[in-house]
Amino acid sequence: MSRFILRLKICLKDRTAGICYVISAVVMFCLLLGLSSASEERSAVPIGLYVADESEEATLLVEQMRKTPSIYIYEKSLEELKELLLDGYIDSIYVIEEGYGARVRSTDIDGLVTVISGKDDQTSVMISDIIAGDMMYEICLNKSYRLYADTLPTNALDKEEYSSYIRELYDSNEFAFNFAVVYKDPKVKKIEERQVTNGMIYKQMIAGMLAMLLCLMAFVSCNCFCIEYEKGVAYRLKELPGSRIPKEIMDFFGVFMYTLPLSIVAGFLFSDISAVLVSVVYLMIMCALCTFISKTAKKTESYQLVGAVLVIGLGILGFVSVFAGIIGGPDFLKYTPNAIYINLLVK
Amino acid sequence: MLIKDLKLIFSDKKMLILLGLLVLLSAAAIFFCVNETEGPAATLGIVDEDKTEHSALLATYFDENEVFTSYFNVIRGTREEMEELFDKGEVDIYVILHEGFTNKLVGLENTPVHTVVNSTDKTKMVLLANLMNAYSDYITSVEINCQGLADIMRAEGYDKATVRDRNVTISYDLLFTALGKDKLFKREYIERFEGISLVNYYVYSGIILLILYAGLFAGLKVLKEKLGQVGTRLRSAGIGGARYFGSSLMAFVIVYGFIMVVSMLLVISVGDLKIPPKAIVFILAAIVISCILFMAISAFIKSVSGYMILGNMLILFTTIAGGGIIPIMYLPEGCAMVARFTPTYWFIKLILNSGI
Repeated sequence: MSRFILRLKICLKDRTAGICYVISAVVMFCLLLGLSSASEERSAVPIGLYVADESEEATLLVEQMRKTPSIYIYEKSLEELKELLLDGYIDSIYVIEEGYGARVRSTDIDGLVTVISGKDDQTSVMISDIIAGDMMYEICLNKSYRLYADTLPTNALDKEEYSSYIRELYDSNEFAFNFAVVYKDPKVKKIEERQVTNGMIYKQMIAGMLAMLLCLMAFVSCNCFCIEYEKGVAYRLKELPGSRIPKEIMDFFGVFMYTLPLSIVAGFLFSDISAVLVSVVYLMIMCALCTFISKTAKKTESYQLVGAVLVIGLGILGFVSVFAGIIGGPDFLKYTPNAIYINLLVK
Repeated sequence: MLIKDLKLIFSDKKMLILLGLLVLLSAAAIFFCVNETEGPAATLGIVDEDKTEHSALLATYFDENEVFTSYFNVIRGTREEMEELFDKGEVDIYVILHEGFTNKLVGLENTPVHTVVNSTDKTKMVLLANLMNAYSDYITSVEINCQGLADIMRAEGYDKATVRDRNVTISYDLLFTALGKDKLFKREYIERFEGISLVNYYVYSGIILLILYAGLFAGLKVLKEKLGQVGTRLRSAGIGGARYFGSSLMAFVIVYGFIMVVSMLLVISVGDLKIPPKAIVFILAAIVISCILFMAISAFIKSVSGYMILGNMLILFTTIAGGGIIPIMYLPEGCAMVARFTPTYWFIKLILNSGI
């Protein structure tokens, strides 16, 4: 026990490290809190919108697009939007061409909207599918009216009356088609009861960053063992009475205790007590791993090298695992420590 | 002095072996990840219980849709087969076009299409929810206009056969319009700018992380030498601070630059990773900046632990704020403003705009 207290004291005694620890932790948590609070809004795909037509149809499409939760719209001049695209602030630009309204009315619908994007950009293809949903109402309305007006002998309603009836049906929601979607986990046969939102992906990314932060803290805190080896202190400590393994375990607990507050705050970012528990366990595993590596490496440079690769490697594998199902990443990714942490936190 | 600095770096044999192993390991990991991501990643099942022309048309839509086929293998089967495959985890989503689907669609009754989605993978689940919402909009537009036309014709006294005939005509026309929605868009591509795959994005992010860590190492060496009074001893031997720093900087840039370039060439030669030749110049420039930055930081810190915490946290901070983890376009506006001051942002931007 005295060894545990001694280790904790050593960690706390390094004022420079302590100040750096507190400042870094506060800055990182502010950043993660900012990201977390914007998760719903910012998980929509940002696109640029340039409207070159002033017709009612174009206005309706813009209104409809603004209501679509999957996209976040920037409306600026075409030049400004191109700059944003090149700077990576938006995924693609949608240009509602001049004459859009007239062409929708005449059911000449090819190339109504111009999409400007990078080559092979799959996201813009998906966004086009979503925007096509917004365009479809007006297109279908005009097509059905044309059939009504052009091919039937008695067509009592004019365009406005016809549109107003169709709008009535649309607003009544009685005919709104919906897929009855059930989200089910085949392993436990459990149905997902939470509402499925884009923010879920963002939350996984934040969980990934927390994992990286905790891994990094465990890694830098265990550096004290290397410094002790370099100064020769570790060899002298070995001479103290008592068997080696309990001493190593107490060392590990001392460092773990030093970093523990960080994992508790990290867990509370997810406003869930189980997230705290998961964070504490993850940190404990990382502290154990880093203690082992630092006591094996014995030199700060070697330890830093292995540790950097560990933090970067686990971090990147964790982030790629979030999208592994979509991009076809290897299956083992979901069994990496950060991927497990992300999964447990989001669950 | 430079040669002596290089000798000093190369004198640590264990470290060099470790570095070599790690370079090979990283190259293998990148090669493995990049090459594993070919082809559709998930499977979509279609159960056509209606077996009519309309339902076949809708099922074909899933087969031919660019978004679906780039991400999903589309298979067909019975409800029981799909349930079995879903339970085994071999199907990620299945859609049941129930019996009577066509009749209901053209205006007689409105019942939702039963769809089951695997909730194990949250990202896939969210993506599918978005796509399903978009397809709901298509079908709603078709359905309402079919229903509306039929209602108006009935109110105007048309006989059942005429109503039915027009209903079939319009429902075909609108369904084809919805299925051919790609024609609504004209695509233009910006020259010298490409979309980037997620794996490549994270690989670039990983490269800048390694460059920052190279700088951290340089700073750590300098800090340890400072704590060992090396600077004072060199000054007494007539070697000034500027010469000492300049020589150390050159040595680190040569060593790290060589390692990074060899690693990149290794990855390019064996994998599908796209790295433009210009990127090599950016990498070397980034190594110089990173080394200068961390050597400067080490001049102000007196504790190795403090330097390690600050340096590592600074790297993590610039990586997150610079869009290295969540791409810049998804960052909150305040964060995106900060991004312009981070090396990660500039590195990824330069690579994206350099014509991969």
